[in-house]
Amino acid sequence: MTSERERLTDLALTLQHDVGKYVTRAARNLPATDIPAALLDMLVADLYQTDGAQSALSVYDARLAASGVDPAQVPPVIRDQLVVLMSLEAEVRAHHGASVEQARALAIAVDDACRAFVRALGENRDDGASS
Amino acid sequence: MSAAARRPPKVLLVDDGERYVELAHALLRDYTYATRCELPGPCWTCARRPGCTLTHAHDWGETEQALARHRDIDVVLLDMHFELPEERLVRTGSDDATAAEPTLARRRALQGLAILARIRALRPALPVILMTSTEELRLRGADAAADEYVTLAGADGFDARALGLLVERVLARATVPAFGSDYEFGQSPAMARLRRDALTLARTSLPVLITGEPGTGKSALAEQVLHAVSGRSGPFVTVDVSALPEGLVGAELFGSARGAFSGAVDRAGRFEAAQGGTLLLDEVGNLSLEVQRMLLMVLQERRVTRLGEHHARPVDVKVLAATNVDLREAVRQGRFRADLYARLNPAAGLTVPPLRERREDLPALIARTVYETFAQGPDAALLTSYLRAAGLPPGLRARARLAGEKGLGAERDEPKQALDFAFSESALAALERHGFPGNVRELRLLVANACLLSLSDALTAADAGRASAGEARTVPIPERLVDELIAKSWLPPARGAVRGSGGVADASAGERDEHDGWPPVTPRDQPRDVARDLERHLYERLYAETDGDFEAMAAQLLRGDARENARRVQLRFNQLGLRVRS
Repeated sequence: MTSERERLTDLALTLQHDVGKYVTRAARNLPATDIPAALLDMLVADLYQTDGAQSALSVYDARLAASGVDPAQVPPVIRDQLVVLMSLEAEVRAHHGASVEQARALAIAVDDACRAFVRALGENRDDGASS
Repeated sequence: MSAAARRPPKVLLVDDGERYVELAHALLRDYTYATRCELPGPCWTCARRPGCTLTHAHDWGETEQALARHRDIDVVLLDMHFELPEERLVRTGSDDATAAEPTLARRRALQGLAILARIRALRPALPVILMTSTEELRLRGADAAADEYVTLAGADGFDARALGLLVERVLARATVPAFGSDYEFGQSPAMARLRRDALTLARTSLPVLITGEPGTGKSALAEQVLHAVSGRSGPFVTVDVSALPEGLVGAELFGSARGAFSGAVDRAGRFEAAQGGTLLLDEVGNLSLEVQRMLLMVLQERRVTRLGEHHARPVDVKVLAATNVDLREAVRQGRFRADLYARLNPAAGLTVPPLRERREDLPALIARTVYETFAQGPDAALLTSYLRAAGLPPGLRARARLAGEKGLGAERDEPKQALDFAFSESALAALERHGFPGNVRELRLLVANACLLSLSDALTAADAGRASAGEARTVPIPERLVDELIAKSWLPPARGAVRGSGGVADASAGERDEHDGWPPVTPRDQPRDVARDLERHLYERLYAETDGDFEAMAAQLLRGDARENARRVQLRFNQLGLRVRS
């Protein structure tokens, strides 16, 4: 495994932990209707104060910058969905129903994309090892 | 029936942040939680719940505290990544000293595995759900470290419903001893009755009086069953009344205010320390009449007044009292208050039978002792040394194999995953003949000694290349060794003991001081530590008596060629941490 490969692996694992897991904590647990306010507050915190004061998108950008990995190496779908998520902030903070539902779906999609990124690296690693 | 079927499962959360706690507070309401706070009752009824940060452990240190406080944890939810300062991180026990030092980032990323290893050393069969996935572990280049009690949460980690189902599945297949306790009841009718009564009383608020000969396991019953099953969230606190100077017992139990007596400081007593939990008053028959009066008031009013104070503090404590003296006789003689005796609920008291009255439990007790002797600590290191020397895979567990039965003590292990300590028919017969005046404590000491000495012997043979691969997986326990250990038993015979050919022959020894210069044993001591202390003391004494002549020591300790055995004795001498004096 090259050092570049190691950096990419570390970044994937970091994104899965620091972004994917965090944005879906409440999102995966929202009931379809009558969502308690406490859970909505948790969702807001997960998305827009993911790392204390930082939003999920800010955390993503910071981890990517710190990794030294070429952004082109990372599936763009993760950041694209985060950008949309950020655009919903005002409506989600206002507990607007449709926006909350959209944010929930996007958050889960971000986590799924992060996990798929990790899985793909693992599979490629196995391919490399066997070749 | 599992513990989980009778009460909500108790979960310990181990996470450096608060996210799982928040999630649990919001969604996982079917559980109770192992908390680090002193308040009684389940987490959900706690007034501090909003914003509470005491419901979980943030690092290994706090995990260890929680495990000590809660003997009845059913499952641990353990995070993998711990973003903690370096000084709060721990290493795995298997870290290879010759390997490159892992980076701080890696240690943080895999801290869950290090904590898992520590949990395993304390609670080998406690189910743990690790908040990671196989992909993550594989990419980290880490072993799954998955034993049969570890489950990886994968994508279920933050999905409360999926996580709840996962917990249920884990608990359903868990084989932690029934009632969440480590207490070995065995199969005898006497112990079956004790088990039934203990479990009933554990769930009540009533005081419980436990009687039985020394070494029968009264303290273990108190902690591992009566406290563990009670569902009380507070700590288990014990006080050995006989070990305290008479003048200090009151202050120790009830606390003191500055100036209450010479040298007194403001200090909570054991009653307050046990708030929300259980207090064991061991050797309660030794209390002075004045302290008995004060204890009676606490039991009646459920309030405690520190010495030197005038206001009483409410206490919510389940009181257990243990003794090996006949309290009824003490009442008749005026040494024990009749009203206090009545308050201790003697009608529903528990009597732990002596080992000689439940010989059918010997196999289970031997199996448990063999397993626990090598589960952790220095003796686990000896096992590891042997496995390495014999070319066996690391991580094999110790298991008792008794003549005529299959291996015990690691029943869930396949044959290839265990190292067998084989007790021959004659060795077992020697044990069965013995009266065990020291009861379970003596049995554990004897079995631990036999296994350790035999393993030392096997290690010597393996080091010398004398063990064949086929023999290496079995460590025989010879009859002559068991006979020798029984013959050197230091305990006086118990009243009414059935003395066998290997038993203690001197009836007058029954009047001897039980300690007789030996290290004192307190109820809180772990049997493993007691065994080691006693063995160390024996070796020290023989070393002094023989002027450091290992051959002479071997002649006293072991049968056979003393010259050949001298090396074995010296090896054990060193393992016990003793050093040759120049």
